[in-house]
Amino acid sequence: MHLSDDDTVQSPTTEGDRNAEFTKFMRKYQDMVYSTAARLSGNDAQAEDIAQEVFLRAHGRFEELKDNPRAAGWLKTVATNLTFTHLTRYRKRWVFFSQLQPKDEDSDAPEHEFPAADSVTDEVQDEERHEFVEAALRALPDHQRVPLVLFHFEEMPYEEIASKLRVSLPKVKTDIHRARQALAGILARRGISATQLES
Amino acid sequence: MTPLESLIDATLRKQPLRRAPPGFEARVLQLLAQQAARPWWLQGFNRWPKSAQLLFLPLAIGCVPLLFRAAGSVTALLQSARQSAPLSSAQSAASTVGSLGHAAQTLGDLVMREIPSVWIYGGVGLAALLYAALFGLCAAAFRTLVLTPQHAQY
Repeated sequence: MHLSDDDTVQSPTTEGDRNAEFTKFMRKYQDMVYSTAARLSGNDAQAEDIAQEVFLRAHGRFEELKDNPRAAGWLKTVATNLTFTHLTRYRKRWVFFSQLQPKDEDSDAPEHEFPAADSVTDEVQDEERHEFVEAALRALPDHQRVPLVLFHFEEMPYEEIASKLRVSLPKVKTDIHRARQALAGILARRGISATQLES
Repeated sequence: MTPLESLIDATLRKQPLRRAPPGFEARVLQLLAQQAARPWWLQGFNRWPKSAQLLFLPLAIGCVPLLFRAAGSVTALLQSARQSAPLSSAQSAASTVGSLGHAAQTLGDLVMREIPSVWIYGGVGLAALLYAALFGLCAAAFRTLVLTPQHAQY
């Protein structure tokens, strides 16, 4: 006996329609879910597993989600929570590593200087620049990347990030500040100017 | 906002969404098909048919007194058989099982008579708590060791 046997028996057309609807739903949101997981985890293979799990869960609640304007929010929340679970399970807790960072990475370090636009010989195309930024994000350590992504991509306030990551508010601010500096440093080393980023 | 903050903020906000890998959709649909093909008793309890869910709990709870009663009945049966005929080896083994059941029943009676009910309920509560903790540990171990071998490289 399968699940469908217990409730109303669905005709193949109805089941087919449901699958088609779910496929459409998945096409609409898969990039968003994958992006959230990939940027938070910093690992594409892991992000794919997480995104799969998100849609498996969404399938179980598809009747509630399919016409719900909050579906995107639900998917993002599940993707974020599952990524935290993965980060916690397969790597050491980012808090732990964060606390082991050497003191010379302190927040009063000078801000990074980007090269001037005219010092960059080759024009970096948009797509290439986007890829550089994604690669730079992946290069950040978990304890910097996670709060940075939550703040800038997920638009989560500092307080909420602190609560979600179970760390103090000053620590979140410090980690995000260091992450910005590190990101700027990586991009500058790759020859991307501030003007190019602003363009 | 500091210049660095606003620059990074503007940069990240301009990032387009990452594209899901090719074949992602097909893989999810394949996993869903595999899930649907599994028999219901191999799926999570919340996916069991409603009738099976409703039957499961009373059956599980009802099994305990039934086992005690069955053990008592077997003991009584064997005692009467012992009086009427010599025991075969199978009967002897059954007798041993029956005796154990009888002993458990006697112990149960003794416990109910001699120990204050608060202690009994407390003990049952503690046992339930320990059972739940053990269940949680086993579930965590199962999820970690069995369900997610593909993540082992991390």
